Amino acid sequence: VTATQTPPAPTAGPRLARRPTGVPTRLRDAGGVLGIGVVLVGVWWLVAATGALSADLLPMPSAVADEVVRLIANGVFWASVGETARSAALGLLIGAVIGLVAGLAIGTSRLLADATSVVVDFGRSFPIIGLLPVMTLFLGATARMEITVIAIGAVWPVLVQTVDGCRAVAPAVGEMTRVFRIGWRQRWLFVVLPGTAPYAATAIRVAASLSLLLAVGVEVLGGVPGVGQQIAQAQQNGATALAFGYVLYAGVIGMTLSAILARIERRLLRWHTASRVAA
Amino acid sequence: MSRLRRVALTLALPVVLLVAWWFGSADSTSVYLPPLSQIWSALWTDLAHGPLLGDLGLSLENLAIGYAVAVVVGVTIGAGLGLSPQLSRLLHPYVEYARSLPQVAFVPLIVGALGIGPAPKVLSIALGCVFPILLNATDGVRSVPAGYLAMARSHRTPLWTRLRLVVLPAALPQIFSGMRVALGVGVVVMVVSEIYGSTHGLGYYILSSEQTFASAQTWAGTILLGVVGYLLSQLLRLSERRVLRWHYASRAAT
Repeated sequence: VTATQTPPAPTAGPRLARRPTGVPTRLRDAGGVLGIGVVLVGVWWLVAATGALSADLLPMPSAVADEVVRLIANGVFWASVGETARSAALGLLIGAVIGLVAGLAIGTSRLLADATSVVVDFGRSFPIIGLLPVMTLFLGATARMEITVIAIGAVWPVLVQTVDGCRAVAPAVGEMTRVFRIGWRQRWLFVVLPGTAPYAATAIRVAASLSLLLAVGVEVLGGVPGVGQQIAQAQQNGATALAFGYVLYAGVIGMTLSAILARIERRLLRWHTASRVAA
Repeated sequence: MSRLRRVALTLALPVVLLVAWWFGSADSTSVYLPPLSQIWSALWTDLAHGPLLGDLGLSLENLAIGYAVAVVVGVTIGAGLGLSPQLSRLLHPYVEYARSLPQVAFVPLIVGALGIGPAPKVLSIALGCVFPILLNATDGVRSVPAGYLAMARSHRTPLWTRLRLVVLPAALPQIFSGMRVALGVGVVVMVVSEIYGSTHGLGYYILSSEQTFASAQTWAGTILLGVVGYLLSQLLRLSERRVLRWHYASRAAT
């Protein structure tokens, strides 16, 4: 072994030593993942090809792949992605701000927590999409209605987790701020808010996937323009492969959204992750 | 604060809100926002003599079956993935992708494929509920302290007993938190599948009354939906307290 050789990746080291084949774990994993994908598509292809389900119900993988590729050059597709993303993001933003403010208020006041407990429990367990017909009565099938529904839905997870975050501040820390007569401004800036932030960040990620769910739901049911409407329309026109293509992209939007938020969270909460690793 | 005062405080806000709604809407002539008294009587009439109770029963039946399937499948596969790091590494990209799919997006596909009977609803609900449970079961099983497993193995506990008495109880708190999330998703998918394509069910009741501008009925159905969602989540919470009594007891002791 000479110094010029590249050292093995630290995590893969011991494992490599035990496996004489020497194929790096990551490469083998990639092969396995690919293999499973091939099997999944194969099963799909078999079911579709044998005609157990007609092409209207389960299109051939090749037909869906065609649509997936074709959609990239389709203006309607990009417009609908934009509409869905915009509504989900705006609704999430409004809901998260309300949830944070209300959560901080409720989390730091025992009185407020008792007074609002039933309302909060009711709100968090309310299937918000059920508000769609009522909201359509008020606001019509518009993007504004969609954003309102999403915002109402996004409030609850953020609110509940923020309350939990406020309460999770260690009692000793709370007592210490009181013993040292630390002013409320410093207490909020350096104790309450940093203590709550990790909880709120997790909650915002949960709320983000809920926002996308609500956006697509409102579009599927309420005929508001967006990816959901395209799915419903394609399905009703018998263009099942196209509908499948849109659904596949809906998953991509979801993954992109959570990846972006996870990155923001890691960046903003670097101090928190670092302190947890050290502990 | 005395217990009584606390209960009074807890109930004060809901009561105030309801009273405000009742009197605030009493003179309402808006087609969209009828007086609460009208909503209340619509709710009462349709529950006692109308279709609402039957609709509610059908909805809950679909939800119960779909949810039960999701719990069984989710816990089984989730525990399997938790026990086998190899398998879970290989399936990870697919699980991540599947969980990112907005669960309501495939309702049109399923309803389109299977028609408007109960089967597509049950399937949609099961698909929507399975991923939160699966992911939490995996996490729960993976976080079983290694010492427990080593101890069970050194006692030569048979695999099945080990799963039942060591792995499952240790993973149960996490599984329950997945079930809580899944219940919320399940109720949403239930409503969506009924609004999208159905001739029965609570979602259908709400939609059809909206389309005929019977807004008192729309509000009544919506309120009933909220009450059902609330009661179901409270029920799950109660059963969780019961099943996990040992867990809370041990946590409180430390």
